[in-house]
Amino acid sequence: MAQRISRRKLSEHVASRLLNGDSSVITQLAAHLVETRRTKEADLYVYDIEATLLNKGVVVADVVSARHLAQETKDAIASFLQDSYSADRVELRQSVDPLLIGGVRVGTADAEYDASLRRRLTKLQKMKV
Amino acid sequence: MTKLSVTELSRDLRDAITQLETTEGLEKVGIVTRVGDGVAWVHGLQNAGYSEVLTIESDAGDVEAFALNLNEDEIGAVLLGSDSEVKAGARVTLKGETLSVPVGPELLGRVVDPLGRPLDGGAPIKTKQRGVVEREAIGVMGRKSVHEPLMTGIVSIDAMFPIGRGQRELIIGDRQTGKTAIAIDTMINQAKQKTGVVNVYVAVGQKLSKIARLVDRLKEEGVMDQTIIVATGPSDSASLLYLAPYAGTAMGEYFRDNGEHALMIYDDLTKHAVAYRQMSLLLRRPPGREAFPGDVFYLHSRLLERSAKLSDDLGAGSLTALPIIETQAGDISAYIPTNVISITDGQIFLETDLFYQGIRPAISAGLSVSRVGGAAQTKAVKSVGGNLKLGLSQFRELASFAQFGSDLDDATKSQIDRGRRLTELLKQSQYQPMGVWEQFVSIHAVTSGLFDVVDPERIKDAQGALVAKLWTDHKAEMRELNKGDKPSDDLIELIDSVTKTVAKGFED
Amino acid sequence: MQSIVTFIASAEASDGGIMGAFGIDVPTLIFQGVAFLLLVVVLGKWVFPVFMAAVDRREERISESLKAADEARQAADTAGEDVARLLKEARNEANEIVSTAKQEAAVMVQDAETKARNKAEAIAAASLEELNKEVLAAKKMLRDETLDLVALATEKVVSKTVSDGVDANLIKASLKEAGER
Repeated sequence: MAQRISRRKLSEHVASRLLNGDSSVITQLAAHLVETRRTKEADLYVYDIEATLLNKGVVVADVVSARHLAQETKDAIASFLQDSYSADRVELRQSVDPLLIGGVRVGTADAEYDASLRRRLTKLQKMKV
Repeated sequence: MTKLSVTELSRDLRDAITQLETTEGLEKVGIVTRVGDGVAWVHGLQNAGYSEVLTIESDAGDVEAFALNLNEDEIGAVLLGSDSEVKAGARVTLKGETLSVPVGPELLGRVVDPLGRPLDGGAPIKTKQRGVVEREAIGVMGRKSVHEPLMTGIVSIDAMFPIGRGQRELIIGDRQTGKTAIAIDTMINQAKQKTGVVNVYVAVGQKLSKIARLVDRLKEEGVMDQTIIVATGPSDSASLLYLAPYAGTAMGEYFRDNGEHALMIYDDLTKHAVAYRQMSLLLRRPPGREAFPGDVFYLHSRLLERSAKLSDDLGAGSLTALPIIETQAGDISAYIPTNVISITDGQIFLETDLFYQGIRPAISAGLSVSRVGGAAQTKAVKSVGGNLKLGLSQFRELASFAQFGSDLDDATKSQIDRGRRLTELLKQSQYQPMGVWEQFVSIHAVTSGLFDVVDPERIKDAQGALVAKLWTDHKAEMRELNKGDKPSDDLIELIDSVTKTVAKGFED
Repeated sequence: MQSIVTFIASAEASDGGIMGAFGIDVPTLIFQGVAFLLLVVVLGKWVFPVFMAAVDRREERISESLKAADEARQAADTAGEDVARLLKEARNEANEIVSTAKQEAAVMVQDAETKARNKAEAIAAASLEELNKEVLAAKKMLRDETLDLVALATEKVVSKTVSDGVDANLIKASLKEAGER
């Protein structure tokens, strides 16, 4: 049985091939996961690939808000991420969650920026000693 | 009495609300991939440091953990709370610091857990400083040799195996042989003799009822005010048991580094090693001898090296350690006992046989040793301790002949009788530590032959009468003697005359 | 022997003289004299010494007994003195013991008093501590309840009042603040 390749190494390989424009690597990765019975780690692979892309200047972020965001707001978020990571490219994946009440939650592979009202209220409740 | 002030409460709440206005910015986060047996495996947080504190968010509040396994793909973090609150997928953030505990005089008189949280139902502990739990020991140049005595109040120890400030003396024996009793008597003696030494008692996996009884006893004897108790019960997580001695040492180091003296009692390190073994096996570290991880020696050596006597440049403070190890069937050559014996500066070995013969404290004079010895002994007790040790060792040699009563020559008989008297003298009740002067007069009475007329079975009564008489009639001289210096010939003469009078009263 | 007696008998009848006038027979006298001297010698050699020795011994024994009686009397006197001395010493010692016992008793009573006082103070301090603990627990509960209520109220109010515009401004403001950090 071949030695288990670490997730990080594999993700680095996939990320560099993706940046070179070779999108067939995704199918190959899927096949590898099925063969080595590591399909449960698929989400973690996505995180790791995105983390490697971050290091190489490509930011992929999940943006969750209570309401649909105007373009102006989206641009503000994108520029904030670009400054924070000194990135060349920023891709946003949007979704709506009314439970946030207000504000926005931006999540990248290795960090999170949560400015939602839900978070502040949770923080308040956590101040119980 | 603490008042229920509404203004204070509303100010507190307003502060809490004000804090909400600040946003945190981009925070490094990871997620928990799986959790169980007190260990959470975290994905992400690639910049986490070894032993760094992680905060895991859960519905019931934040749970802290510290990162012990930094693998390529994930981090193995040992939880400092219950793992039932942590779910897979929970958000994990870095606290940015290694584990630290509150330290300072505010902890005196309190019972806390290894994270500094109060367990005695009192007010939350607010200290000005925090001490790092894992810290390197002081280097060679920062130390001074041990030269000040730490009086335990137990005659056999102070006379034959004296302990100095800054020394590590192991207390080792089977279960129920009086190991904790020696530690408690030492703590009580610090209060009784007003030595100013701070006690830190670390209970590792001890029954909570035992800890509660200990707290009550310490309060009764008036010792609690200069004692800190770090308590973990058998049902606490292995991580807390693992941290307890280190946290306690951090609290003791505060006093050491500020020119004061502290006494650490680790009760007991066997349970500590077992908890560490549990943690290591769950972290999938390779097991070694007796399934202990390979660094179990380092576990105790780095803990005990922090107990030291500091040089005058660093304030001349000291941290003395009395680690306790429980053996099985008197086997001191097992793995953990041999490890700790090689680390400490001597051991006090308690034997079950002696205990059941009625010799309590059941200290084995043959196997016990103090590697610091006379350098840390008060001159008064030193002057009589030599004869005591000699008398006992001669008695041990002849012990097997004792049954031949009438067939022995006079010299042998007298040595055996002397030995019996000394053995009787060294018996001591619990919670009754003796001061320097009491020890001196008691030992001198027997070794000088003045108590030779007293039947060995009545030695304790004679000792009591002697001590009472001297305290009543010559209090000032006894107070002077208690300071520890070798007594003058006049004082010895005075003591001898009183001893003769008392001895006559107990003559056969 | 018979011939001597016959001789003396026949001589006595024929010879008279002065001695004969007094009735003293000279040969008999000489014979008796010799017999007497013999007796004296025998007594002096064998009987007298024995008697004298016995008398001497008796005299010795008597003087010894007298001496012993004297010594015994002296010893009795000395013993009497010793007893008196010992009695005196014992009495002194007894007094000393009694006074020491009294002192020790006084010290013990004082100690007991101090202990009792300390215990009472300890009990008072313990009850005060209990009270403080209860107050602290009450404070904590009140604080926690208030926080919960505030959070709930805020949630209810804010979800109704926040509009798209307000939300957008909120996001921009917090992004700006985060960027400045």
